[in-house]
Amino acid sequence: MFGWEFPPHISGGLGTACKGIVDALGMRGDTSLIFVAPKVFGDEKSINTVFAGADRYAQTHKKILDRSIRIVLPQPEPDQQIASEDQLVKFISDSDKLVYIETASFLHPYLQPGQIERILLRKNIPPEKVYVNPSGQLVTVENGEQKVIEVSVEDTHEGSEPAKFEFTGRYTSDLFTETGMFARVGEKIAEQHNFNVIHAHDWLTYEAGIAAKKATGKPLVVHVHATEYDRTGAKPNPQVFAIEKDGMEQADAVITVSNHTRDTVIDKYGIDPDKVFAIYNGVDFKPDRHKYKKPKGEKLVTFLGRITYQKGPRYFIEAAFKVLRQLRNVRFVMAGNGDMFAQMVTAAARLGIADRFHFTDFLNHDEVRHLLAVSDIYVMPSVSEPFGIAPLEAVRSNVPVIISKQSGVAEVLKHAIKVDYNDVDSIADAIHALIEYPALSKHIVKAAHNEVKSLKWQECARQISAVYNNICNNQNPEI
Amino acid sequence: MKTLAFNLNIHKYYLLKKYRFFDIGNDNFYFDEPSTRSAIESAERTCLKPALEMLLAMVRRYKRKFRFSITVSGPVMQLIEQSCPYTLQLLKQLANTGMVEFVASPYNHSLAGVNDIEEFRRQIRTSVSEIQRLFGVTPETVQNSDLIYTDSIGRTAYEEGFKVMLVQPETRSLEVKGSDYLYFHPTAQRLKIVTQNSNYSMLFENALKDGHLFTPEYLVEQLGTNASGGDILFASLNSEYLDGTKYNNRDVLLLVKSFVEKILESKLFKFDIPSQAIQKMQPIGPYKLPDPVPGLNYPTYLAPWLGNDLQREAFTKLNALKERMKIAANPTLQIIWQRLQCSDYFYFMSDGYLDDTKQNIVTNPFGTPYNAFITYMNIIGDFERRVNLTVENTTVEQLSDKQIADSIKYYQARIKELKQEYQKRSALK
Repeated sequence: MFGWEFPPHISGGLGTACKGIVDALGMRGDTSLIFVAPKVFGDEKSINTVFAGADRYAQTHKKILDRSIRIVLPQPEPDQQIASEDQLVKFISDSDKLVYIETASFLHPYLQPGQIERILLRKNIPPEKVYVNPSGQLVTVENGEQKVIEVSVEDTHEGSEPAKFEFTGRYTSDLFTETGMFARVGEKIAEQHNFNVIHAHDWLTYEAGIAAKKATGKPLVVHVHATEYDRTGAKPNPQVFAIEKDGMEQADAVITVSNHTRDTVIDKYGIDPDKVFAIYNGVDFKPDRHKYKKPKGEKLVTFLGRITYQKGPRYFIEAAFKVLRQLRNVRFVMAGNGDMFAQMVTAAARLGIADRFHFTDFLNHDEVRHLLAVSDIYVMPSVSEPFGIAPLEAVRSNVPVIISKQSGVAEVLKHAIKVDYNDVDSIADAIHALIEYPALSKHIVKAAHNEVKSLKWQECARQISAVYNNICNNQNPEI
Repeated sequence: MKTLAFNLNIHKYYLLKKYRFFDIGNDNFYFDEPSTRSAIESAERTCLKPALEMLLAMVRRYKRKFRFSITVSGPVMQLIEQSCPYTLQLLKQLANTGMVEFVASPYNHSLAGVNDIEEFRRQIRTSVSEIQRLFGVTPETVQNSDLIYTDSIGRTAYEEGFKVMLVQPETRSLEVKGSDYLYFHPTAQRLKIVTQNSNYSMLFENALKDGHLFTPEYLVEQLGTNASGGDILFASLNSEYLDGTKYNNRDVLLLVKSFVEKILESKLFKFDIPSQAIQKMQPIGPYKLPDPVPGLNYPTYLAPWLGNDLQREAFTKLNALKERMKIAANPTLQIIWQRLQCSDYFYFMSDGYLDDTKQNIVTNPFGTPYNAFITYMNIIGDFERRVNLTVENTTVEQLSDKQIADSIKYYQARIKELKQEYQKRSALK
């Protein structure tokens, strides 16, 4: 099984899901796993599972390292091209355009705000002289000539960190280099172990999965936790899209985390519906049972997640604004970080609700549990959410949830208020109703809690196991 | 020969607008009048007109052999009087034949029978006078909204002079034999009770939905097998089921027609109307269903309307306005108050509407029970605000005699409440 991260070292959605699947598959007793991650720290634990770190293999393959990277940005909008005579779009840091640039798919997940500017400043390139050319590269114009700005791996390191290249397993701008290398070492690892099925989680590991399949002839399962369309909206990065499509096409079975994602895989990637299976994630969350003292008569409405286009933070702020015009006994909190962070802080200030609208920046696992324990309403207005485990964690903490219809979790959670992500009026109305009509909140919490209890990783593992059996029997009858 | 008592139930409700919390205090209009009107007009076109025309033709053709009853709810009487003169005419003609019985029901299609028997009585009276005015007949048979029944509902019906009541039985109360028998009220014994056998309604609903599986012969046969040995088989059918456009334009009316013909041929059954049928039979025993105990949870037979927290909360909020509505001298508010009582709004808050796999013949106009609840509560919130303003600002001269009496009662209760609270607080000091 190829993954990109594994707890406890990264607690992103992908890592959590991988852990849930690996643990539950291991517990079945009929499956043993080799989990290959870019970097293994030595304290990963699970039953019936061997952990292999690609970084150790990489030591012996230093030759393949390619240090130069390129920041690829999405194509400028056609109307912006017309507006700019020389086909260049000005790179402006403090405006909507910055956000737009940072949604370049593989950059945006965990790129810190301002990182591009800092890189430019270290290179002594004033940001006001930076443009984006039609192929999405950052360029400067010197003496009427366009010059592509080369950004290397070293440039992305902050401070005096050594510019030594290694697998980090983190999401940085050199992901393509890492995934490519990961594929080559993945192939080597595959040759040295014995197994029946190759299972690759998300595009970062698809190349490794394909390489392993080519080397061994074993069937490949790719597991789609998110697609490029979810991450970037209508403008997928072509490179990532190609890797994803290739992975899905070469796979013997594609597992998606919801029917919502299954539809994307079939419609946008043109994959044969017969080999695409929707298997819902489980939820394994221990809520914080501590009784916290809360301000009397005040309600707390929570947004929790990366502050990026995909998560729809602006709709949350707009809804908050509408609610706060009528009710004053309510506070809003936006927990997380992301490329739209600065923009959201500005928006809250501009709307004049900053006294009731709070930001926490990134929260660790315990802080998340604490926040959910004191929350009264959880809102997830995601533009596109393949699954969305966080609302289920909120339900586990007895918090009623408002979720977008454009999320996979809406398929499994009946007892939630479901809205279109951009239907701000409905979001505001639902928040108001949950605060003002206690019967609603009470009913949803009670009913949803029972629903979530039935979502178990064991069930997810059982269905994955059935997919394994299915493809093994088709291709390799003696197993 | 067994008696078949068929009832055609025609009911519509006023559609609510998408009413947001920020509309509270800003928007006085709660109902989506254009959509409501176009819904009744479309129902006339696709369902009421063809179905009633056919039924009228059949009643005339088979003379006394084909008889049935019709329940028309108050909102439908209002809507067809405004928008559907032809349907009104057809109903009048059906009434004129003397073969079709009109059944009285709470005028606002409300759940008042559950907790406010005087309001139930008032609405039954309105229903009777409106049926007299519009169709020129006086109902002898009565039913509650959605056939809900309890002992005091039955007693009130008896007090209002009805001979027979149609009910959806609570199965545990049929301790004697089953649905297909005639019963009487335990204390008001002259009120006869005809209980619906849901198997028949379901049989016909399924037949009209998936016609190719059901032949008229099969239906007749099934009626025979389902019957529990009793003499009177009663089934109520919503008019929506006679709308062919809902089932890929199948000719549902043809099925109804040939079914009636087969029944008449079979000689096993005869059609009759409740008020006539009961004169020829003996009731086998009392039908008892004690009233729900106030303060406890509503019994399970009320679950479709008052089964979950949302429904009960909305119902409580509505009822909290009852006393103030008696003294609110404002005709507009009174009309709104009557409309808001309709049982359908509560039905749409039921958890059943969360299940996508379940096919409901009545689609939820709110989409989900949560939206139904939120919209309704927002509207009640604004309505309450207006009622309070009216009650505060009404001068004594504006009140009718009854309203003055009710006001005295209301304020006496209020003073008592305030005194108690005051004493409680002084005791604490």
